[in-house]
Parts: sequence; C-alpha cells; structure tokens
Amino acid sequence: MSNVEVNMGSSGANLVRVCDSFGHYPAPRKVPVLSRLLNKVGVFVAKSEWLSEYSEFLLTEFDPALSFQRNPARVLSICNETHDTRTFVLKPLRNFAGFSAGQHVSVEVEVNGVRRRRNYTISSSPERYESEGVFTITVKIQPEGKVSNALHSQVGTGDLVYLGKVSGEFLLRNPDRKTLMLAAGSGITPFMSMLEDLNQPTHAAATYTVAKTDRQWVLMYYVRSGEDLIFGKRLERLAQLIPGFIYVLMLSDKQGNISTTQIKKHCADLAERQVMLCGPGPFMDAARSLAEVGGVALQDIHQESFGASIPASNSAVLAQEAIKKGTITFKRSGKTVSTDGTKSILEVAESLGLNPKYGCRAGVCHECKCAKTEGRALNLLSGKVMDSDEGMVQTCVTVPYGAMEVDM
Amino acid sequence: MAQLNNSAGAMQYGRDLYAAGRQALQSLINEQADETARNDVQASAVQPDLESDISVSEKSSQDFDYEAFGKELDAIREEVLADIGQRDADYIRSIIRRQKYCEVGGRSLIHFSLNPITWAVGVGMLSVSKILENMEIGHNVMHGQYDWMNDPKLNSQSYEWDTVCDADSWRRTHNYEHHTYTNILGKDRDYGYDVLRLTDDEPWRPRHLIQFVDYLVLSSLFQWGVGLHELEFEKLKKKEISLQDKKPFLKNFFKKARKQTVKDYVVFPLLAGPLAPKVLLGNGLANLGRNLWASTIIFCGHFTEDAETFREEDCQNETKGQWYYRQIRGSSNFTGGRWLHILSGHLSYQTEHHVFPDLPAHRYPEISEKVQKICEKYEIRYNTGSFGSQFKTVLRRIAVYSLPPKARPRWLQPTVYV
Repeated sequence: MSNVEVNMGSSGANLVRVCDSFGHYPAPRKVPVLSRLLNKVGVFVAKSEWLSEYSEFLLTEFDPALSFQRNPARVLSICNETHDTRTFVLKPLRNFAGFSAGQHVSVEVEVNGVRRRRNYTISSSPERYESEGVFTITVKIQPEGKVSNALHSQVGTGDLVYLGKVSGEFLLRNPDRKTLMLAAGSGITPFMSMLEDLNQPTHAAATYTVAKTDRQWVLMYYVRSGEDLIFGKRLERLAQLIPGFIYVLMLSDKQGNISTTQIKKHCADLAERQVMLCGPGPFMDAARSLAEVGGVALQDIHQESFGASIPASNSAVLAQEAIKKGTITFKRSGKTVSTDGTKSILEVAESLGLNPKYGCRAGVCHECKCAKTEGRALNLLSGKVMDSDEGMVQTCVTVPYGAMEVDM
Repeated sequence: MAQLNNSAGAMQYGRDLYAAGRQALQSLINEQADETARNDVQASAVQPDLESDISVSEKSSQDFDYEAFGKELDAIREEVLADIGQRDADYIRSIIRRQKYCEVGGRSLIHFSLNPITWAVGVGMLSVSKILENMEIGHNVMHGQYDWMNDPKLNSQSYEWDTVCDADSWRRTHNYEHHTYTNILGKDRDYGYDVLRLTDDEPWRPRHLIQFVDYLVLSSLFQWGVGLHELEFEKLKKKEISLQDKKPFLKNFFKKARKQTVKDYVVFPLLAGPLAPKVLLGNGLANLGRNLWASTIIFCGHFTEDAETFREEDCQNETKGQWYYRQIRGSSNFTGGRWLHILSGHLSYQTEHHVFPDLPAHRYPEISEKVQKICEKYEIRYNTGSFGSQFKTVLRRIAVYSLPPKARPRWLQPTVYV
C-alpha cells in the first residue's frame, strides 16, 4: 500500500516503483549470475574491435542468424497476394525494437553482390509482433526494382533478410476522429497495419463507443481491377469485426479514377474528417487536391509517399533533365544548391566555401569519396547512375541526378 | 542493366565532362610541376651531368597515338565494370573467410602448441593471415575496388588494416600521391622511399654506398617505414617543414602504432600467462614475415631494372593516354601460380593495378591478356618475368645505383633494354 499519490502517465506506471510508507524501497530484481556474467563478456567483446570482429565472424560462420552486428530476420513464410505482389512473414532474430502501425522498415538483400536496401511498409499489427514475434511486409514487383525483384525471385522460406531502421510518421494519430483512408494499389499496406491494430481489444479505440452503423473510419481502396486486389478477404473480415469501419473497394477499370462524387457518396461529411492518403504519386496528387477542394483542413491531410520518388525511365531526355536540374544538399553544413551538371559535387562544395578532402580530381585515387545519404547521382567516369541506396560517391567525377544529399 | 539504359543519354554528356575533369588534373600537375621546377633551379646546378637515359625513349616519338591507346584501355575498363557482380563479391568474401580462419588458427596454434613444429605452423599461418589481410584485402579494399558492394566493412574510406600504418595516412600517400604521380622523380615519394637511390637522375651521396643494408633494414621494418612515410623525414631534415606541421599525422600514427603493438605484443602474450615469451616471439616473427614479403612484392612492382622513371617536365600537359603509358612503363609484373598472385594481393599484376587501381584485383589476370595485346599493338614493352628473375633485377638495381656512374665496374652497369 502506498500513501503517496504520484501522478504518472500510463506508460510510466510500470517503470517507476514507489517507496512504501515505512521508507523501504522495493528490492531490485535479482539478475541471475549467468546472465550477469554473459553481460560482462558481451561488454568486453563489444569494446574490443578484434574480439567483436572475430566472434561475429565465427558465430556467423556457424549460423548467419547469430550475427549480432547486423540485424537478421528469418523469412518464415511467403504467400502470393496477387500475380505481382507477395507478403513475407518475417521474424526478427535480434536487435529489433518494434514499430507503430503505419511505419516502414528498411530491408536489405544482396542482389548480384551488392547489398541493397529499400523501405517497405509493415503490413501487420504491432500487437502481432508482440505476441508472435513476427511482422509482414507486402511487396509488389516494380518493373525496374532491383530489391522487389530479388525478394520475389531469390528469397525463399527460411532465408535471412537484414533489417535496418524503422521509421515513418504516417500513423493513425487521432483514431477518435472521423477518418477517411484513401489507398491505391500497394498503398494499402500501412492501412492494413492500422486496421489490424484497431481490431485489437487493447487498442485505445476500443474504449470509444462506436456504433456499428457509425462511419468512423472509411477506407476507399482503389485497384486497377479485381486481380490487383491485395488483402481483399482480410479487409472484408475486418469490416465485419471492427464496429464503425467501412470498407469500400473501387475498381478503376469499372468505376474510373478517384472523383469527388465517389468520395461524397461514401463520406458526405468529408470536410470534418481527417484524410489519410497512400498510393502511387499521381493518385495521391489527385486525391489530395480533391480533399482540399472538399474543404478538408490542410493539417488534417496526411500522406505517405509510395514507390520510387524519381520515375525510372529509359528516356535520354529525362536523364538529361535529371542532370540539368540537380540539387545537392550538404547535410552537415545544411546548405542546398541547384546545379546544372557542369560542375562536380566537389567543385560545387568548394564554391560554397566548404573544405572537402580530395586527391587527383580525376577519379583515380578515391580520396574524395563521400557518403551519399539521399537521392541518385551520375558517375561521369562510368556513366552509371547510382541508386539511392548506393552509399559512396567519388565527388570529383560525380554530378547529381535529380535531388541528392551528401554527408558533407 | 536498368541503370545503364537509364543513363544512356547521359553517357556522352558525362564523357565530355570527364574530359574537362582530366584537364583540371593536367593543370594541377603543371602548376605543381612549375612550382617544384622553380625550387629546383639551385639543386640542378650541383647535379652531375647526366648521360642518359631510361626515361624518355619511346615517349618522345611523335607518331605515337596516345589518344587511341587510351581509348582502347578505357574500353577494357568499361567492359569489366559492366560485368562486375556476384562473382567478385563471392571472391573477396571467400578470401576474407580464409584469412580469418588463418588468423584464428594461427593465433590458437601459437598459444596452445606443445612443440616447436606446431608453433612454427602457427607463426606461418598468422603471417599468411597478415599478408592476405594487408595485400589482397586491405590494400585493394582501400582502393575502392569493392565499394560497389555497399558493405560497410569493405568501404574504402573507413577500412582499417592490420598494420602499423594508419589507413587514412595510407589513402593520402599511396592512393593519391603514388598512384597519381607514379614514378615521377620528386613527386612520387614511394620511389625509393627517400632511402634508396634507384636512378642516376638522383644525385649520388656517399651514404648510398651502403644502401643494400638500408634496404634490408627497411624490408624488415617495412610496416614501420610505411607507417612513418607521411612524416616526410627528408623534408624535416632539410628544415623545409617543421615537426609542428606533422603533429596531426604523428598523433594518428602513435594511436595506430599503440593499438597494433598492444594487440600483438601485450594482450595476446599476456593471455598465454607464463608462456607469454613464445607468443611474443611468434607474433614478432609473423610480423617480420609479412614485412619481408610485402616489401619484396612492392619492390618488384616499380624497382625492377626495366621500370622507367619520369621527370616532371616530361609529364607536363599529360593526357590520359600518356598517363596510362606512364603507369604501364613505370610498373612491372611477375608471373607465378594462382596463390602467388593472391598472396601478392595481385600486385604481381602491378601494371594492370596501376592502369585500373579501382577494379577488383582478382580480375587482373583476365585484364592482363587484353593489356598485353594492346601493348604489343602499340609496341610498348610490357615488363614481366618470373618472380625470381624480376626480384633479381631489383637487387641488382639497388646494387648498381649504390655507386655513382663513373665508379661502376664493367659487370655492374645498368642493363639497357631495347
């Protein structure tokens, strides 16, 4: 019994223990000797570069899943959603801190010797991760997508993929507000995670009294045709389970593209709602302007960009365009400049008064190499466009290819 | 593939810009050459009159088409770049695996050996591990040969190797200075390391008489020599720079040297308790073995008798084709079995390495065939021979130039190559 009233947030309740009326502090939980010992060994190993390098090597030689420097996840199962979309059930093996519904995770696979990373939205609920230790990503093959193609063609059940950072701000922040969710194609994935989360009896929304007839959360899901439909059955089932959730399937080949009439038909009260958008660029642009015209306040429109930010194209004209209208952001100095492709990144940096290191200035010595943190770049020596996940650029022979950011 | 298509239109555009980049390099070289030339005015007055010489010969011929020559080499580079992929990743990973097993096995044997034979095997394995790590892995990774793999552990800019030399210092002195100004006397400080006199273009001094002893000492302590290379001892001696200028370098040098010394000569010996001396000795011998091997390989790369040197004035306004030419004429290969090449870090293909320093080294054997054909076509001498014969010419060269031209006996004259 405590005679001290402490006002704590709900999350703090488990962390803070209150002293009792006689001034006794609760005894700290005893840590078993073995785990204390292991912890000490772990700290020692981590401190010594040589030991951590070689213990990592020996462990991963025994089983790659034992890596403690990387972040492996086992592919437990794979299922086909449509002809070009698959869901991968992943079990993170260590170092994974969890996620919120709507966030994405960076997934790394090796494609032709190159470690490549892409962000994929997690399409299952955080609750499922907590109870079963797994989450899912749902991947649609992109025509020129190296990672999506590799995930489909070379990753099988039982294989390992490596996880990176979990990030993303596209969350269902105010579930108590009436919400219109607009999804297209594989843009359904974050909503899937949110809806499964809503279905949990432990979810905050479970405390609201939402009548079955209410139209609290309306999902309008646009797909090209029936065969492109992802999660069809699960969505129908969720619509039965979650009171106040309305699921509307829109087939573009029959009902046409998104329009105000369609939205008004299902959400007469559009102006009062918060709107969440996720799908390909053109869809989101159209949906966004419809929402704005429909009277939705700007701060109530939330969107997640989806797919490649720069359209992949074979056209030389577009390539020229990307070079002529490049921009470089220098991350550490916080400067952004636009370039026309006549000056290398190194020269641009120098003209800004930065002091980057360099050597031969001809692409031989690699002394000027610098981390590219965002965007694409064109290496003039090889004529190759470097993808957004390719980390290092030789600044003396590289120009931006569209917008890019370097760690300088 | 997609990338290539994607940028097809940009390729030509890129090449034009690249040409501009090359021009920048030339003007940089010129500028610095002018500067040094000015400084050398006094020095040249005391220089002995040189009857010579190895350098200019073919280069001065007017009808040599450097541009076409350069383009043919560029084509090889593009061909290899287009083909790089899984095979190269698998290769370097398999070498890294072997190196790590070698190190773990070697150190274990040194520790737990019960007789001199197993101990000696352990020393050998540790030495081989250090050789593989320094030459086939470290040196090549730091050249950026595997940057395309996006593996943070194989990143040219952050890789740190198992030697006293700090990797950042190496990247400056080796990747930039040595590879850009290869064999240009006065600009390539790797040429003779300011210890050895290997051409009559350098004035003779009495200390050169015993340069063979210097060579043996340098070879035995090679990692320390390489580690201290950036100190520019010769300039310190001439008071051109002060120790204060070198403070940042020295700080990093001591940091790295301490780390290496503590690892090999303190921590591992102490782990063996009362048997510490045998671990100390074993680690010392493994380092010595690596030092001797590395210096031998590197000397065979640029100091064979037929490897040309260049003078700054000959390299002014150098085009890319001429740069390629200098790389080929300044380097020398040696032949041997697959593992000799691997243990040399493929520096047995020094010529190919200097022409394409950032292509994965295990590709050099296949590249070599093409380079040789081009050399044949353009009538450029391609310097190669067996390991033994090339090393013999290195030793001979050290001996020949330890004497001034006039003091050389008949049997110790520089070999004339035609």
